[in-house]
Amino acid sequence: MIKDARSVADGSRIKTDLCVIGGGPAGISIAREFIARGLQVCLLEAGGLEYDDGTQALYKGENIGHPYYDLNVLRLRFLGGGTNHWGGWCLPLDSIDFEARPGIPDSGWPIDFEHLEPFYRRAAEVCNAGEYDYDPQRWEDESQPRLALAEDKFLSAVMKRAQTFFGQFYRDELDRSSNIHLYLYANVVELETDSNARSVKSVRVATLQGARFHVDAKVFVLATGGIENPRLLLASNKVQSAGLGNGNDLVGRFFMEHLMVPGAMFLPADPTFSLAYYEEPLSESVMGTGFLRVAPELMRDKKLLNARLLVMPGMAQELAMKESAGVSSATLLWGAVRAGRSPGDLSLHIANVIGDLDKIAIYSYRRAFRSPADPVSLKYEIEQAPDPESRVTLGPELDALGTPRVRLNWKFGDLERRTLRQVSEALAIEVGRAGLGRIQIVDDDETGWPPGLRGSWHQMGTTKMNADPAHGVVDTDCRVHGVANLFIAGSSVFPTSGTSNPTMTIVALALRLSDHIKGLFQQGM
Amino acid sequence: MPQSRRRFLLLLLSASSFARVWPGGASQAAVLEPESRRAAELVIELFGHPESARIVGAAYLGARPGPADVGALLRDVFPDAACRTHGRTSSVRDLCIGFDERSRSDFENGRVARIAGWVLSETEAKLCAIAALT
Repeated sequence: MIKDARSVADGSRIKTDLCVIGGGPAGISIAREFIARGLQVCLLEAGGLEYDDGTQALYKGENIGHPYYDLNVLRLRFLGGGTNHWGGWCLPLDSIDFEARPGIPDSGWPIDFEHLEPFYRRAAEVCNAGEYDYDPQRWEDESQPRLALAEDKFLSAVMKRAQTFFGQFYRDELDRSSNIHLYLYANVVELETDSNARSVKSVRVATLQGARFHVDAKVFVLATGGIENPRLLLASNKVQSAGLGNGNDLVGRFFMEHLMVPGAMFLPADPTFSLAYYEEPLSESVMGTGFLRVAPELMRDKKLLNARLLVMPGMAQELAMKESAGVSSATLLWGAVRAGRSPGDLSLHIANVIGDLDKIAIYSYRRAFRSPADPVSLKYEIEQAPDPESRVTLGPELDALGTPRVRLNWKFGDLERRTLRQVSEALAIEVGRAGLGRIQIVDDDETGWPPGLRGSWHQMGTTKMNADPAHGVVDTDCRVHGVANLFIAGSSVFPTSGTSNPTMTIVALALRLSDHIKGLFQQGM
Repeated sequence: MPQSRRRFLLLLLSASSFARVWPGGASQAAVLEPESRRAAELVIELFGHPESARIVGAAYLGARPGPADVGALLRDVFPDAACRTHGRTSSVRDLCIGFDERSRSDFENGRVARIAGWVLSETEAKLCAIAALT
């Protein structure tokens, strides 16, 4: 049933079996697993059913690293969380993403793909992503062939698209449940522990309207996202001054994003070749698309991070080139110099050329070699390497409820840069070798970062999973090391990010955690 | 503007680049054997738009060390002397034979040229360079 925390009596204590903090995809997935299971579950959502400015403002924070999105725009603080502005892309991580990879420090999960796959199958249902079928051959036919690239270099893959806003989709089911108590506008401001921080006793809840109350539970799950999860742990510092679960100074570190980069232009050799496989939809009835991923062999051989390439149909149309001012000027300049004369308006022509170099290069190549095809843009998404200096900490400012605001220092470096460059070069050579066309590496500079680089709205890694407490905040069961009854759900537990959109992995891990917690209660927790 | 684009622009427009390509090219062309001259002319016919090929070729030549030598380029692109001689009675179609395969082989073996970010085979870049020098 759905309740309003603003109507809870100030100073009261709610007792429950399981307390789930956060009503996003992870929290909702876990709560649903306990419907009619004979346990009382309290699901605490900080926002309401819809967007609310006052609540959203609690997400404000400071970016001090690589330019990033405003932290109160990046996330949504109402039921459904990030799925309220979710693109809906669903796909599992790649098998190699779980491996400890030489050359990539702090890589490796304590579980492997085969272990997680059954939960992925269940997650596909929860996300309404259709049948769990990610075999790239399944979606190929004569009308939408895959690019014939060497399979030890680049592979075609597919992702599905769900249109499930978790808050909207599951609110009625949660409301009908008699044992799931969903509290809206319930902001958890502190996790309260016993005297030695070995277990959580209660959470302190505050509302913007002034009511304060506690929720006591046997088991707690923190599921508030990749930035709020470390924020709440760090802010819960009455017993452990560095923050709960932060005995090894790992909470908030290893913040990761997927680096989105406008990477390349593809000029197909055959203008009749269909790129439909790489454009939506996968079929008449299945929303989704194909993309190119870097083959594990290439990653291992070059010690590269994972990367994938998405075809962006239509984005290169302006480069499909009718004769532009720059092209005209370049041709005129060339002719004048050959003829040994100075063209009129020299500076104007040079300015045209400067402003139009991309068009000149592609225009010249296409005309010289009689290529009738239009160029196509490719967008890269690159895995970010785990980096302890890329981190979330608490800033000096307090929000309206007295909780320190976050400070994000997003950092990445040489490994990501090298991956971008070497994947670009490998793609250009492979496309040429296969006779499929030519590639222009948009970022041909080899220094700095392309101006269009940005994050993909995915926040991961800040409470990473590792069996060893010296290297991770949570253990293999997603339990906070050293705290008996506190678990974490969400992308903050990802040790590495791969390139796959994280929501389906978030849900798969949430379902796995649900099974584990069910087992604990069955054992008489 | 990224460094490589700036470099391309400078290659394209700098006096030294053009001086190397044009006057040098003229003198090189003047001393070509007749069969090589015919082969070079056929290369021009290979292109849909020779002026565009010359722009690409000029950029390629500008990025290479050493003098621009159309004879050497012809020998590189058509290493078989008989092939060059064959040019006297050959056609554009003959020249095109094997061109795709050679380009693919270039990529296979890492013989590529980068021009304004475009990754081209050495063979096609050299064909453009021959056009620029002819």
